[in-house]
Amino acid sequence: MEVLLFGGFLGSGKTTVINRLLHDLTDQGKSAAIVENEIGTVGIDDVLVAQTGLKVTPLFGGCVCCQLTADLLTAVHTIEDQVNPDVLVVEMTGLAMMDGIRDTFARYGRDTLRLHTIAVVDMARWPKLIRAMEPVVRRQLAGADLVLVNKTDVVPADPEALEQMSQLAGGAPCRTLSAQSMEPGAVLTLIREVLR
Amino acid sequence: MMNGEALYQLHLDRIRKALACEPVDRIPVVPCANAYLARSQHVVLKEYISDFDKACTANLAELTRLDADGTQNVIFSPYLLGTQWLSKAAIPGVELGDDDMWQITEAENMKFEEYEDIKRMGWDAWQKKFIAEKCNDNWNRLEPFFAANPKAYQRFHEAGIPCIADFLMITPFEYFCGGRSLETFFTEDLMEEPELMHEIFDLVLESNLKTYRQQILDTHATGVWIGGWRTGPDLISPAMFDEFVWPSFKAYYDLCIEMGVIPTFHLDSNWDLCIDKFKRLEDKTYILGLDSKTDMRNARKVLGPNVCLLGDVPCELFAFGTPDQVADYVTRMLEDVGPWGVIISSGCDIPSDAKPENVKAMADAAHEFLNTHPQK
Repeated sequence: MEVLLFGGFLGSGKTTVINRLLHDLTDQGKSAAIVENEIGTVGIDDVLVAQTGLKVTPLFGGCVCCQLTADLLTAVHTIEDQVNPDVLVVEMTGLAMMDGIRDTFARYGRDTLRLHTIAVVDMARWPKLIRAMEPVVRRQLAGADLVLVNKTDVVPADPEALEQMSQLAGGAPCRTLSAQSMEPGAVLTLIREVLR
Repeated sequence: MMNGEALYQLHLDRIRKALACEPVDRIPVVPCANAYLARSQHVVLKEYISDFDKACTANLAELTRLDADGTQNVIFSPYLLGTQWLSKAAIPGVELGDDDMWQITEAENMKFEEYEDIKRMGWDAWQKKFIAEKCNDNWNRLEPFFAANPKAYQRFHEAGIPCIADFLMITPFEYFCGGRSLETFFTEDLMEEPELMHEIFDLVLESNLKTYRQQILDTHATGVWIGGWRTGPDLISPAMFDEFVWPSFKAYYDLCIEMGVIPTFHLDSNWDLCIDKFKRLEDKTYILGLDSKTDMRNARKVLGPNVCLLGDVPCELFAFGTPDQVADYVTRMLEDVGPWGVIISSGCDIPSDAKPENVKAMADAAHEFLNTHPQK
């Protein structure tokens, strides 16, 4: 089962990216399921859920992240056993650290899981974020396979910022997008190009 | 067989010796858990957080099975989480399914302008009003929990199990990092308005010190948690920690020492970059609770042999490991950082999906250690 794990701060647009991706997957006849760890103002598309029978599993946690990775992996194993979709999309809270999750999957996850981690960054807020909370940004990007730099329709992508993001993500590729206005199929194509 | 009071004193004495880094007759085990305790006893979470007699019975049954030397909480309500992060909490049986894990809603619950209200109204009055209006009226919903506490404590005392964290001391940073949401708090408040933040933090700290002093007296507290959830170097730089967090840590620690209460710094995530800060405190007076993300061996190296370390079996090991792996983890940890000045526990809460045989393996490995590794 392919697992696409999305991280990024509240308001970075990751739910919008995920909604686009879910539409793209179902349009191509792929089955998908989602684990949702963050309750935000933008939710997973109800219409899509109703039309496709998309399985949505909430992932709850008490505090920061201590129980979260164990609970996440349990949820992933359960979904593989019970639903076994082509793609499982995981939306993590902005407090989740990608590198820790990757480590847990590597140590305790099944061999049948193919994990890809995707960090969503809000281009418009990047300068403030990196100035105010460099440690957490560094940890969020450290384990990412791909960085999606969102909202570049609001603020044009700054090459220096992209270089900085890629460095923090250990050389992972950065791709710019505006999830709000992308054509159908574009998000999936973008992700597929990078995470082959 | 030892009666409850004698067992309680024996356990507490063992914990105090570990705190003082003195030799003990066996390595103390002091778990930290709530949802796991419910599930291990087949209690649905909705009942666990509303029927506190039942919750207490479940907790005692599992802690007795583990032959625990103490506990880090007696009963639990997730409404506490909402108060410490000025947030709404989603609750099993209310917003969630009956056996779903509780969840803090990460959202910008508090407006920037409300800092002025805190200055005008004072922290206590503002906090009560805010929690009533914006956090699902948590204080009222906590009333049954607070009412059930005395009986639960009595039952734990009779069972011989002391609690080392009778309540939580919350830093101002935690409240607003939750209420304003992580990103907004960092980018808008700390970076743009540091002087205002200092003013607000001072006001909250002064008020909390009075409240906590009274709470220690009212509850006859043995120990407290000083919480470091969102204040570690995974989230903020060591310099920001010194500026915005350490003053609260130090003030709470000083209050504990003055009042003869055991302070446990409950440190979530990776604190490697700030461990050296704790050298500023007096040896043998506090417990450092680590959650396996911090390198406990490095903490011992940095702080020396006279600081009590509590931890740190990883959550993932409880859920996916085997009893042999857990026992091996505990034994190696004790060989490397112990045996004195160590209390064995989970790293943070035991996860709700931990295997009971793995939790038992943790306790047994700790309790057996001095038999297999006799000290001169």
